[in-house]
Amino acid sequence: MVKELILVFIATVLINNFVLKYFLGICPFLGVSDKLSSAISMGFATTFVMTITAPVAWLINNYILIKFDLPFLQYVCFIIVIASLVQFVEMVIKKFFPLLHQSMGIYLPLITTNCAILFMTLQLVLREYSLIKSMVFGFGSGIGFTLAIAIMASIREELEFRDVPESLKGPGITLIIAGILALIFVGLAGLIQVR
Amino acid sequence: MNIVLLSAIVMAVLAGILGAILSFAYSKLKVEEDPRREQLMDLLPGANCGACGAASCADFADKLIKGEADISKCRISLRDEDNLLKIKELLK
Repeated sequence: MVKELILVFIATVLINNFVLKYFLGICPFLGVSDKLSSAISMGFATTFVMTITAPVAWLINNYILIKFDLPFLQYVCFIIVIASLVQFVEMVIKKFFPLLHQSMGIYLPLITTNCAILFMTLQLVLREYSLIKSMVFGFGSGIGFTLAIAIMASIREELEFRDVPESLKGPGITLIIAGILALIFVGLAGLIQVR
Repeated sequence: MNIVLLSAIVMAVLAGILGAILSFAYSKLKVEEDPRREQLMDLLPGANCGACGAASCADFADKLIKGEADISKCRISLRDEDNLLKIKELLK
């Protein structure tokens, strides 16, 4: 049981990394990755939302949607849960970390439309995970997102001091780096066997 | 039961629960802000030029409310007579 959970965790963080394998959540990945500190706090905010969303989505799906035979309501229900959680996180951050609130700006409410989170909830239904497994899955996907955005931010901080060709400055070089990072993560695919 | 009715009930209950949680959280976590700050931000130029010595217009608005700065420092506001009067009225 524990071994299985660890496998799910490693698989979601490294092998099926949401950003670098499925190319989800690209908007904050490119938008907030210019400074390492704000990138990491963005990652943790997303991780928090994902970790809470996963069990709530599981409960709603198993005890309401399947029971009443309303599978088509999945999308709406999950989005409502995600949106309210993001509102909650924003209130907490505004109250306790006003400076962080300023630096994250528009990207904080945009966690709502982060497709990685909706994808995560839909996947845990499709993969028929148990409650604990889906919590680990949600936490793992958040950590994977944090990992990717932190790597990206560190590279971009270094890049400030490098001589980038004029035509590639800005989004160009960022997208190329994202592609190379994705290629590197493909190399981890053989690490363990997962579904 | 009718599937339309059922989904409407499910959504209403879900939205009600989440809304209740959020409004409870809001009442606990509300940030107390001076209502004048918002109005002041609308009246200030919003150019963040820094001529007043503050880092941004928002920063300047905070200082004005605390009484640490004077509106005459803001060069852009000085040009607009009506605006200036409104700001002085607000700060009384």
